[in-house]
Amino acid sequence: MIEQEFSVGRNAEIDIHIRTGRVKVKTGNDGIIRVDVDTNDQGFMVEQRGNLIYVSSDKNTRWSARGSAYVVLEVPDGTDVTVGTASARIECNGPLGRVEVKTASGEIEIARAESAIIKTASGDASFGTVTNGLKINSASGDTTIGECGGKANFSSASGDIRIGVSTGAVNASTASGDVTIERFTGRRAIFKTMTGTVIVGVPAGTRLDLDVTLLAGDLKLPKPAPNTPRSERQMTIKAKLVTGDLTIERVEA
Amino acid sequence: MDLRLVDGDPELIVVDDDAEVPSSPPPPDGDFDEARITIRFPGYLKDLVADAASTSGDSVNTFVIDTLKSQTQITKSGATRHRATIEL
Repeated sequence: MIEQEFSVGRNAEIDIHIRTGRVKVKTGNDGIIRVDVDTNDQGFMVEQRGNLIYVSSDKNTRWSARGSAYVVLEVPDGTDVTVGTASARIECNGPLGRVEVKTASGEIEIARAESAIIKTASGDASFGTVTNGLKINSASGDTTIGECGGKANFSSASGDIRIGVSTGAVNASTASGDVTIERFTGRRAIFKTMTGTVIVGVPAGTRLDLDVTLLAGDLKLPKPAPNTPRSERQMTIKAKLVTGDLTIERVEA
Repeated sequence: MDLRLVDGDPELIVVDDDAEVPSSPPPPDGDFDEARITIRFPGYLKDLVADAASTSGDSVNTFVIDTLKSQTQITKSGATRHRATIEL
């Protein structure tokens, strides 16, 4: 069992590398990072490098032979977090700064971050709020986001992407994954799918420029509103779908 | 074979019928059959369409067909491209 506490300045960072187990990051007091590790790995390393706290399994052991670890970190608000893991589960509350995760199959749950870059093979990723930019590459993992702002880029083979509210630009490409944005208020969205369907909720009172290319899919548009409100915002949606359908839904302004 | 006067002298001229009468390009698929569709839209839009057609010197029917053609294109791959502006 490792229990350590470090003093850090503003813009603190943590860098975590474990093979399996669990990583839990929660926000606490300013200027202090607390690290608790439960592991049998004798070479497990926790060290401070300036404003960075480095947490890692024994590097002298083969990656596949490294033991499991349960890591809990308490960090100041706005801390940048980097995690590399094979199958560890990752949970972060917030508000955090930039969160970067590379995982093979570990599940990811992030409550609130300024921005996020995620690369996952089969692990699902779930976000509460990401305020300023998001990039996700997923093979088969599903992605769920409550609210995202800034530029959001998604690339997925079979994983589905579901966003509650998106206020920034969206660029999503999938092979068979479906894309759903319940409420889109950004200026521009681009979708490319092979068999995946795309559903976008657009607020009433929006002037929507559509540029859609479909091979076998359908374009489904809402019925005209009884009293078309004057357009208050303008957006562009571009889509290229092979067999998937594109559905535009009118949602409340 | 045509008999024509060239500089006051009669001349026999061989005429290629195919070259003489240019064939009109075949209409794209789907234009052979006339289709009818009933569209319901707001009254004010009907007036706008009529005004726009009048301004461009077309009938309302021609204007609507030309507009639809310009917004929906068949791409080389066989995919359909839809371009439109929608007021939601």
